[in-house]
Amino acid sequence: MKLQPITLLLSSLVHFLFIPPLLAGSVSGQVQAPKQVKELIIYLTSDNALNQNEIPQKHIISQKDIRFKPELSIIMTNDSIEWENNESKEIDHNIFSLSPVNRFDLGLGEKGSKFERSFKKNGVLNYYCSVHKEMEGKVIILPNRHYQHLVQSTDFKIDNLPEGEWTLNAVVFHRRYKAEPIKVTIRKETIKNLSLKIVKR
Amino acid sequence: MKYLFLLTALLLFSCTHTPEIIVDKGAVFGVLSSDAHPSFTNKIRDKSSSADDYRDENSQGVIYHDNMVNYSQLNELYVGLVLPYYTPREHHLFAEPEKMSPSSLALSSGDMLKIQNNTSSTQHFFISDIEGEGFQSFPELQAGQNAYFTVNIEGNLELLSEDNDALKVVLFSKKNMLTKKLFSGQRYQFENLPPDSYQLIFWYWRLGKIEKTIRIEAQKNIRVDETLTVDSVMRSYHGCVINRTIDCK
Repeated sequence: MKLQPITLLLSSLVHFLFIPPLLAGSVSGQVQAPKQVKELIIYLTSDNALNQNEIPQKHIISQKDIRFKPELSIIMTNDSIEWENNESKEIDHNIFSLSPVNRFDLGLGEKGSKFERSFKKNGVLNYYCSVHKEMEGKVIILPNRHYQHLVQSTDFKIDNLPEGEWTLNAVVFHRRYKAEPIKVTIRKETIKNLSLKIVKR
Repeated sequence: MKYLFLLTALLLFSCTHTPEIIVDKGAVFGVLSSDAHPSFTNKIRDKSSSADDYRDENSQGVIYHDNMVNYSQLNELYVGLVLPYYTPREHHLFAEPEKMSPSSLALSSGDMLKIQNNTSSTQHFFISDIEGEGFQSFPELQAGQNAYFTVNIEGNLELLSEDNDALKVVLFSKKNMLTKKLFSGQRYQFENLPPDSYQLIFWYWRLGKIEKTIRIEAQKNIRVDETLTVDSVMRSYHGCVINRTIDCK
């Protein structure tokens, strides 16, 4: 019976450490961007390391008709990508990247081959096939899955955000521009009508 | 046919003459080439492999199809030598309606770009670091006009137009880097160099760069040949182990 307080303490500690944070709120609003900015990724980051409970996923990129499909992939750190050579004819492909976030050369893959690689750092990665000149792709590696990909659209809404202090930011594909990050505090209510400004660098 | 190739090779080799010896000075020279991925060229050589569409039965070399990177025909390879002293140079770029020419350029920070705007509209050019925050914008350039712009930042960069996505030049900029543009298999030389250690850089925009430190000695010419491939560039990153499981730092 003397151990009961310690047991309770340990039980509370385990609960605190391993129970995922409450999915509390959401943010929504509009992007204020000039017409040149046609595509961007709105994302949220937090210092609370809230993605620790998220299970890594595997994303498939097909090599078909001498193209990477899709050419843009948005993944989370520790996710992996599997490149599959799905050509209908005997066409070999290579996959390599010199981006500092992850440099690699996966060698030459024949029709039917599969290469997999995981990504441990956030950032933007450009990769190519050294054989075919039009084959290139891009991977955006984000710290969590709280993002939205906007193409020719300005309205955003991101749900299922755990409580805490967050920063709303954007990957802007037109490099003349950048987002002005916004600090938001997520509680149980929804934060509406945020305005994320895209400005010239 | 084989003897003809041998004779051609001998003639080409004899043309790779060494630079003139200058008292108290040295030189570096060599040939810069590019080639397909070694796994690809090995497959072409292996007659039992399923690569007939890509194998030239006469030369045993690669047949490059239109959709392939033809490494034997690349004409925008660069060699750069980082000097202790440097006088800024001028590079000419042409903005056409659908593309920039040339499409890549290695240069020194402090060099000037003379851009000729052959499009029908005003362009607002800027330079952006591909891997970092480096950024530089230039004043507007009206249609039909040309202007000089000085590049002030270093790194792996892109010159882009705010107004036309098709206008893009991949840049590699490094302080005090004297550069030469070459086609694959072309000879280069840097001469009249005071004895010292120098950084020699070989670059192709899609494959990246190989850096070497060379030692120039008085009244000596050193030869440094290099072939840019995915494999050789990856190996040049010091301490980098390339395979499917180990990260390359």
